[in-house]
Amino acid sequence: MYKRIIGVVLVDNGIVCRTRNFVSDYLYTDAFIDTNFFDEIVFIDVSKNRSNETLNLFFTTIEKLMSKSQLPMAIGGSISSINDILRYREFGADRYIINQTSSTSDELVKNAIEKFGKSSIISGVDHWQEFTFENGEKTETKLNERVKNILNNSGSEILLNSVALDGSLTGFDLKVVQQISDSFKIPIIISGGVGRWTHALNAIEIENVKGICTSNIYHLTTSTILSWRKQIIENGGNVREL
Amino acid sequence: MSDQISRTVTVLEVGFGNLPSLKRVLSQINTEVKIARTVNDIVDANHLIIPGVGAFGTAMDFLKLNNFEQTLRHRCLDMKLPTLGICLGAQIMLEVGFEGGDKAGLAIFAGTVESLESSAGIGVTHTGWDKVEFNNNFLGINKYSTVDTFFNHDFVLVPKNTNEIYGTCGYGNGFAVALNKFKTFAVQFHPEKSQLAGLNMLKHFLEIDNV
Repeated sequence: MYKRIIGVVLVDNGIVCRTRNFVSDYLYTDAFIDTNFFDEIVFIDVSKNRSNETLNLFFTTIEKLMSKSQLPMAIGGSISSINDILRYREFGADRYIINQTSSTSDELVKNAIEKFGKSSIISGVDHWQEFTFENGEKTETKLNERVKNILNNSGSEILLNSVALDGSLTGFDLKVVQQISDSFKIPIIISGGVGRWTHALNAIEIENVKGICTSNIYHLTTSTILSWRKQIIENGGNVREL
Repeated sequence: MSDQISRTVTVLEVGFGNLPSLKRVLSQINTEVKIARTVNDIVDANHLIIPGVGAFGTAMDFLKLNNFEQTLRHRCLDMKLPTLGICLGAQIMLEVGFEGGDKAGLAIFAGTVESLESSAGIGVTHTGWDKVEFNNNFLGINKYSTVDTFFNHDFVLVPKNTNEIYGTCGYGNGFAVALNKFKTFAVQFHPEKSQLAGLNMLKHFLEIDNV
């Protein structure tokens, strides 16, 4: 099976943006975004004050960017009920990212798996280096403890979000990722820090890393990802050739 | 502008389907979706797609409750009309599913549906793009070609008759992913999420003669 290059589109009040350390940093137009070079697309609503209006704007952005795409699509961003998932399903999502950094969402994950199947759910865990990250700060909970605790009640993949490296373009937190991959037998996808194709290649060489995410506007708007693929394949990485 | 001629495909939803995403992709090839709600809808459909995500048992309970079981068998085996099962929609076309206890399927294809772990030696969900090797012509794909498609499943098709297997995936110990009998096609992968290759398969299916 190929490793995936996943395009993450962050949407703030209907406008595509980039984040740094999880804070919207730069707004951008969706006019130049081409999602077709990816293996999967993830849309995340990062709007602070969510309303029906922001939801409709989110939907409009998805419709626009997916109108010519036949890629699998996941949606995330403050999923806090089964109803949220049902609504995102109407947007054409196939998989749903539930933030499971804190144990308060364990029940929702359990119910969602029962209703939609494990393969439809991705468990998101935010971290700052080797600790989890919640409510805007690093906690005292070790990331590997948290992952261990949700293994029997998680989606089919765990999405590890490095808040510390988000938007940095300096590379993934491979030390932490390697440790999780060595400790647990669960597919992981990773986010936060990728800037160059070498970062992507180093990451997908880790056994349980099934995909890498990028939300950098620069990667979404040009043929950068296509040239990454070429470089990665030439250097022995297992990604799809387009 | 022959490409603009719109056509209709009937979709039978089983379980927790991914209808909105299927609809979006079908609209890209100028195809409108009609939802099957009655036995007559199933019999009358020129082309029928059964998508679906979810559990085997729940899907079969739904079909039984609505008396769709015999109708689907009749459509596929006697009337031999174009029918495409995707993922769970493909799995229910076999005889028995082992997901959550034994459960009888539609038995359009002989064989069972087993967990990835027991049949392919894989303990986790098969999610992502993988190679499919076609050993026969299938929905416009030429014999002996290899095509990348998108998968997301925990259970696999284990058909009895090898002559009904048209495509396989080599992941783990390998398994069947494309079956064909008369004008019924069962695919474990998602053509609607497999970019151009998948789009072409759907197009080809919709152009199959329905007599």
